[in-house]
Amino acid sequence: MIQLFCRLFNLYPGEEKQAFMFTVLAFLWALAVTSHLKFADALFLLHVGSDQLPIAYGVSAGVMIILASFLLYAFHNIDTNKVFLGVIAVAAANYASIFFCYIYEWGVESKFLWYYLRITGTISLAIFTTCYWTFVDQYYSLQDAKRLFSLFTSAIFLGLATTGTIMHLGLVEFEQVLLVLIGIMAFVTFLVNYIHSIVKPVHDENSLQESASQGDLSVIDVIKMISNSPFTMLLMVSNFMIYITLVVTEYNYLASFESHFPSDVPLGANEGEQAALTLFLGKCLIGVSISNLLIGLFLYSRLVRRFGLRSVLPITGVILLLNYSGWIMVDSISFAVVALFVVEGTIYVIDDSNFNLLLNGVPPRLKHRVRIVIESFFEPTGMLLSSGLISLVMFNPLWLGWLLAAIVITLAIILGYQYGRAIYRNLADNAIHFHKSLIDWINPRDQALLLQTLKNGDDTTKLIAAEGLMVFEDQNLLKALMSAADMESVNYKINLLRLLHHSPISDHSIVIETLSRWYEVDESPELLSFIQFYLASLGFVHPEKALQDVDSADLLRKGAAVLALKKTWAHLSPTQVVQNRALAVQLQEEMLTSQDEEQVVLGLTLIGIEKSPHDAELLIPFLKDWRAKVAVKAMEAFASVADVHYFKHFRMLSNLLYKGTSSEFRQSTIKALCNVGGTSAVKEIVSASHLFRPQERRAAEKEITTMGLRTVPILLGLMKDVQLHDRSRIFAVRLLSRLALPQLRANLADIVHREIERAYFYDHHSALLKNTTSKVDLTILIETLETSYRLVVDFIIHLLGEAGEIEDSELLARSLQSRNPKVRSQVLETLEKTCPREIFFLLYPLVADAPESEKQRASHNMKELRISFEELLEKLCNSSSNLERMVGAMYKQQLDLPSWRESLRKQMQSKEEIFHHFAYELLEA
Amino acid sequence: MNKNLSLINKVFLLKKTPLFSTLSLEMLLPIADKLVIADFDAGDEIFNIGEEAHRMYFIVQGEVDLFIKDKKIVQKCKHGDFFGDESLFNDLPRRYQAICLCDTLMLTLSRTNLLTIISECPSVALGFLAVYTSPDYVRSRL
Repeated sequence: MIQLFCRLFNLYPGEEKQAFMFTVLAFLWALAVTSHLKFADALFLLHVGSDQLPIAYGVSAGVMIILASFLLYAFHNIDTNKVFLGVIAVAAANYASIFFCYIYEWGVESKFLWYYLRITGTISLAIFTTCYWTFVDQYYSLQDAKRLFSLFTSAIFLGLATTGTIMHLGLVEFEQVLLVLIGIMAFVTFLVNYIHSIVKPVHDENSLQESASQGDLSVIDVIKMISNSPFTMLLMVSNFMIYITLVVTEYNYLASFESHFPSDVPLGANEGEQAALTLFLGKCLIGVSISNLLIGLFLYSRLVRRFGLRSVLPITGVILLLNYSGWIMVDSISFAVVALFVVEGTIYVIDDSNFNLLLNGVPPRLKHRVRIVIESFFEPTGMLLSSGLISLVMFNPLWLGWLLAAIVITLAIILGYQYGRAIYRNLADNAIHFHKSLIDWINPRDQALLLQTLKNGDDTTKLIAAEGLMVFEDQNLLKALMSAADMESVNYKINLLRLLHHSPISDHSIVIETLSRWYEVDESPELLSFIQFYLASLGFVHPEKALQDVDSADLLRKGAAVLALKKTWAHLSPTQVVQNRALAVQLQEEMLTSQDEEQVVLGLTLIGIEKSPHDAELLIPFLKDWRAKVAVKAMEAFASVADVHYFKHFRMLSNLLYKGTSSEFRQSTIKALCNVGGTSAVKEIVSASHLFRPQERRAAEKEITTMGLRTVPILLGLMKDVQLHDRSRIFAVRLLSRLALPQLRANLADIVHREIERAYFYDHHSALLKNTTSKVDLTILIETLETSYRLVVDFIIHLLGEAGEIEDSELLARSLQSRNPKVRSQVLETLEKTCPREIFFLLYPLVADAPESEKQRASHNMKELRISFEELLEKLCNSSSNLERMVGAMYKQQLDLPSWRESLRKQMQSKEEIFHHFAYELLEA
Repeated sequence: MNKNLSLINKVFLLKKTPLFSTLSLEMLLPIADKLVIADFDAGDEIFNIGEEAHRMYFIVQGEVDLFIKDKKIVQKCKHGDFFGDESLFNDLPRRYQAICLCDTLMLTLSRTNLLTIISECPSVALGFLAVYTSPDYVRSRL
């Protein structure tokens, strides 16, 4: 029975109690607030008349704008539950005051009471709606919201339906209703407190305010943030238009009802005419509420999950447009009833639910502010505007309604298209853009600050400022940079030269002039050596000047001499040039054959600076040097000099890619492989990429994407290769998405279906084994299956992320592992918007926080899942993963399954060294 | 108090903290981009014992006192110091209370961003280890 109940209302096991409490809360406040409003409506029409409605709208709007400011302040500075409790207390006090006014007929004569009732009724509904949803939103993620918020919306309608029933039956007098409402407010206070004490909120990291002062946003900040989010602006405009449409439609149907029912009936005439309109409204409300309940409980969430939010957005606009099209031609009460159905029904049950989901596309820090602005500022402003529009004689309110409905449809369609992007944008706010280069970050406005820092900063900040200024490659900035360095310490100057040496402006005339000046005036030998080396590497040191340093004990000076002798040819006779080069080669050889590591490193550096392909062979012995520094420098030099002529070393380089541990070494190896092997390097690099660190991956990505479309067939093959490590396949997918997105998408469905089946396979068997008793401990087997499951899901997410042009699929996969349910639900929403629907339906139970039963239902037709335990072990033994092969073999041995030894020997045909070790140990055991 | 820190200013601050001192400008800029400015008045409570943790804090200007139960001061943090990081790693509630001694400007970093930074720049994790294992560091023993 409970299961059926849960299925009916989309509840997952364990969340029944919490959902029940929020449902009861929604029902109770809605019953109270709609009783107030609907009685106020009826009494206002009877005692004041619909022609005075614009005045009531106008005053309500003005008061709400003031109250909304208080509400914004309150939500920013006080806990949400406390704000909600405060509103409930004010409402209770309001009902008590209305009760006394009504009993003693205060304000009846002047009609003040009916205005007050109508105005406070409208305001209460808006404020309670804002407070309730802000309160609920603390406890649910977006995916929960999709399943459950329509249940809460339905509870609100149940409240409205109950109000309609009470009005229709006419059993209860208004003063009695008011007393009940006070009682309801008391119970609601208890319920809010109880919920707050037992339910743990789900925080949104980005909107979080651990204290009131944190992330304090000024009005200007909020406006800036809104203007930077097209989706937020669109959502606000759309809601504004919906609200204007609502008020105009409400006016139209009330005017139509008034024309069918007599008015100006004195208070106290309980029979006949006075009751007719109240009873009719009551009947309508019951009908509307029942249909709303059915839509809210059973239809809305299923529609959203089946067809997506985008398909549901235009419903209200379409109904209204069709209705107004008929209404304009025939003034029938049936059109007025449909209009009432929209205003009291679809706008709340569909558009409000849509709004609650759409709010997740708003930047998290703005979310609650936007809700208040829309519900408390826009609604009254819309009310004011619509009352003005209605009052204008030139506008026929029915034509106005038709026009507004058309605008609402248009906005809904645009909003639907923007929603997916907005959701991803929020998720991407967590992404750190390490791939951006300096020029992407630093803009010309920073120049003044950087120049200022050069004058006032310490050495650390000055060097950062210098690096930042070099990005602009501007002559004036460079002049300022070099002049500022004039008075700095030797250490600073050397560090500055290091930065300059690797920059594109290393040989700028201003740099050379400054260095020459420093060389003349500075007395620090360390700096002079560095300058000498710097200038020599650019060919600015005369060989004659260099000759005096060939025997120098200072390595930099010696290195500078070698460079000068090698590079400087001007004004020398050919004989002299040959002699100089011979001397340089001799000195370089001495360095390379030296026992001193520093000398070897210098020798290798000189080869790297000269970039002569003929020297590449000299570097080969050093690539495998046991001294890390030597190997790194050798590979760096090799990467800068080697080309296709050195393809014979391709295999050796490929092996070094696996063996190298330092990041610099690996990055240089990647470059060398690409220089030597061209597209042949792609397979080697991608295969090894599961070992790469982020920087290495970025370097490899840069090298391979530079090769262009010729790499696409290779990458497609690698992506499909199930024998390859999943991380390597992910890297191939990433490269493909950069180079050939259409090809990636064309191959997507097959791969993803296969991978989803793999994921279900691992998940199903790990769940099954948890409930299995065995004579051996199955823990390792279960954990292996769970690990494989996670890896496959990770691969699928990367694949879908890249194919969906998600900038950072790594972030998507990592966010899915987040402890924060709101972050996880954003991943699902992004996937839903970017991947094909049939794939999403298959994937959903795997990645959502869904119970096991959901997964079992989804995998019902997968035959591969129904295999025996022995077959499972056999499958693991034949897997491409070393871990699965080992675990499969180990369990076969532990259970002493027939012919496990033969099976293991067969497995040993693979060349994996580590597996051989394992297999021998198992056989000996 | 200048509450409008530019990206470059944030980079300068990061470079001076032991955690990020070894990173290049190219790595510091994207990290700085994720830092959110937070300003507090004197006497403001930044967080309390037992609260759920989501962010860590770097002091740009001002001073913050960290207290354990009975208002016993554990540490006085000043410009360049950071706090609130422990609970982001161990997922436990805050073990100390943080109160501003004067008007204080801080930069905050979310848990998600911190974990991403550590996975991209292992040297930051080493920076944390260096701080946690220093003899003067008392917060880990709370």
